[in-house]
Amino acid sequence: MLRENEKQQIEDSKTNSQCFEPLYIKYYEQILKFVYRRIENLDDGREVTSVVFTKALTNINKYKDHGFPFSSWLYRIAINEITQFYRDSNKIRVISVDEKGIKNIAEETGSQKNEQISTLKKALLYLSDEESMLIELRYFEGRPFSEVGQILDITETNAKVKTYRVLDKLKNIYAKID
Amino acid sequence: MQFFKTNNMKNNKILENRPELTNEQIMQGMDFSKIKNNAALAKAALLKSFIIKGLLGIIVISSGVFIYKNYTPSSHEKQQSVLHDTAKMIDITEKDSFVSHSDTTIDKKSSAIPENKTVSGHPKVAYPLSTDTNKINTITTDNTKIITDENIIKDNEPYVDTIAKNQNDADTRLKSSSNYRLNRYTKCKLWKPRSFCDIPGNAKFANSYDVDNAEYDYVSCQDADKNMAAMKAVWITINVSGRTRLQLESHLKNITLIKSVNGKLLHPVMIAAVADGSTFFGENFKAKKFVAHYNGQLDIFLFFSEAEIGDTIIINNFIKATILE
Repeated sequence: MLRENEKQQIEDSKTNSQCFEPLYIKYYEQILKFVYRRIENLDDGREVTSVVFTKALTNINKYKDHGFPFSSWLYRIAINEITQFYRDSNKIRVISVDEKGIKNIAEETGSQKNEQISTLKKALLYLSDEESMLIELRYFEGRPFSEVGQILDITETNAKVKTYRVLDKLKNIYAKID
Repeated sequence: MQFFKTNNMKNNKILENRPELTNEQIMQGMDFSKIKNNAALAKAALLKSFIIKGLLGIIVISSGVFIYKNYTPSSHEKQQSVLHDTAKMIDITEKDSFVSHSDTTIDKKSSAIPENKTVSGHPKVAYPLSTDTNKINTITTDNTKIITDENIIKDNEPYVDTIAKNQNDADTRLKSSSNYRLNRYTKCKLWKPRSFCDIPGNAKFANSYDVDNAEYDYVSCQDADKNMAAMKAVWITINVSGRTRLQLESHLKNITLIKSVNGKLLHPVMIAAVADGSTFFGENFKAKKFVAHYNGQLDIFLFFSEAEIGDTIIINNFIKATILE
C-alpha cells in the first residue's frame, strides 16, 4: 500500500512538482546521512543533498519503476553528485568508519586484534572510490547485498562478488602493511 | 615499496566514529521551496538551451539551403567543373551494354579498312566475338591489326550512366530525355563538303573501339560522293576534355533526328569513320556492342535521308544538338 502511494506520488510529481514534497520529506534524512558519511563538511553535505533532490525533481519524468525502491534512484543520483563534488572541489575524499563496521570487516578478513584493526583502517585508504563505496554500504551502513546492488546499479550477485574481491584486496594490502 | 605510493591514499581520509546528525541539523537543511525553484530554473534553462540549439540548427540549415540555392559558380569554376566532369570520363553509352569478358578493342592506328565481305555492292566489315579478353582477337580483314591487351579499355573505368535500362526506342528516349549534360559544349551544323573525302582536318575521331559482333557495309568516300549525294550530312562537334565514350546501337537507333517541321523521327543511315588516314562510311550498322573511345574533342559525321537547319539531334539522351547552320 505504501509502495502504491509512493508510485502515485511519483506519477503526480511528473505533472505537478508540488507533489514531490512528500517524497522529499520522506527521503531527505536518508540521503543527507548518506552524503554526510562521504563528505566531511555538513554544509557541503546539505548543498550536495539539495542538488540531488533538485536533479531528481528535474528528471522525475525520466524515472521508470523497475521494481526497486525510489530511494535507490536517489542514491544513484547522490553517488554521482558526490563524485562531482570531489571533482569540482579538489577536497580529500572522506570514509566514515565506526567500531561496529570495522569489527565486521575484521571478522571477514580475520584480523581481529587491536593492532590489526588499526592496520585495517590504514588499508581502507588504498581502496578505489568504487571499492570503498562497496565496503561503506555493506559494512558501515549495514545494507543487504540486494540494496547495495540497487544503489550501485548492479545485480545482487555481482555486488557480493565485488565485495568479496574488495575484502581479498584488503587482506593483501593488510598483509603488505603489516 | 611502490605499493604505498598510490593516489587513493593521498585522496582519502578516514573519519572515525563521527557523531550522528541531530534532528535539528537535519531539519535545518530542509527547504522544499528552494528545491522546487531550483528545479524550475533548471527546467527553464534546459528548455532555453533546447530552443537555442533548435533555432541555431534551423538557421544553419536555412543558411545552407539559401546559399546552395543562390550559389552561381563563376565562369572559371564552370570551366573547372567541366574539366572535372570530363576528367572522370564522360560516357555516352548504355551501362547494360558492357560485357567485359567478350570484348575486342581495336586501336585507331590499326583500324581496319575492311574489304572482305560485300553486301549490296559494298564490302562488309565484321568484328568477331571474342570469348576471352586476354586472348588476342582477330578481325576478318587482312590489313587489320589488333592492339595488345594493355590497350584494352577496362570496364571498371569510371563513367556516367545516362540512359534508363529499358529505353530502347526513340519515342521513349525522347520523352525521358531531360538531362542533356553536354549541350553547352556541342556544335551541330549541316556538312556540305565538295567531296565526302574532305573530312575537316580539325575533326577528331575515336582513339579506339570496344566491339562485340559488329558489322557494317563499307562505303568509301568516293562511293559516297557518287551514290549518296542526296543524303544530308550533319557534323556534330563536342568540345570536352578528358575521355569520352560513345556507344552506337544497331542501325544507329540511339541517334535520333527530330524534324523541326513535323516532329518526324529519323535515324542516321550512315556514319563516318577514319582509319589509316582514309575516310570511309558505315552503312547498315549492326553491333551487339560498339563503343568508340575518344580523348578530348569528338566529331561525329552522320548521314540522314533528310536534315535541315532547325532540326534537333539527340544521342543517348546525353547530347541534344540543334542544327544551327
